[in-house]
Amino acid sequence: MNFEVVNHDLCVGHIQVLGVSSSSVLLVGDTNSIQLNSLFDTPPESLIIGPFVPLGL
Amino acid sequence: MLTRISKVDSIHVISCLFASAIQIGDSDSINGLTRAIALQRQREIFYGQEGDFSLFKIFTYQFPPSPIDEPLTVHRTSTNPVIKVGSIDVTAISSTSFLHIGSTEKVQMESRVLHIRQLETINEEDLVAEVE
Repeated sequence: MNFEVVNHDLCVGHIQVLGVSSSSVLLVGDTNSIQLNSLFDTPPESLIIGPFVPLGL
Repeated sequence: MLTRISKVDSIHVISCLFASAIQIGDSDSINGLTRAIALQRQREIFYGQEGDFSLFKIFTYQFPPSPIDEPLTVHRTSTNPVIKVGSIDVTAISSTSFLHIGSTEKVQMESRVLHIRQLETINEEDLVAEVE
């Protein structure tokens, strides 16, 4: 597949960001490829109601 | 790859923490991995031996292979070789994140977060007393 890209003027006045977190990228520039994977787990046992026990038990 | 020049007049960052970086200038590749166990307990208790990632499946799960194997020919032409940004204002960069001014070839990032909340057992007698 042939992919033709023409970059014209790119001019941004102001960028305001509150947070960049958990393996994120704020990129001002060019790149060939970006690959992002994210897993966020709150399993059924994520809410444990009972006496406090160490994790993983 | 023919890349453009990035021109940023001013950067304002309040905090950059937990293996994060502010990169000014081109790079070849960016590779980041975050692993976190976010544990909230109702009371301030921490058993010193906790936090073994290998005990939780989320940290060993293999992502399916990436589907980027398409034969692709990209032709880029830039009429203006400069990306201009007036100002960047970031409050926080955290957990293996990047603020990157400049071009790069390849970005690969991964994040695995396990979120657990532990609440203390409610004593039923106390609950009854509270209702009354």
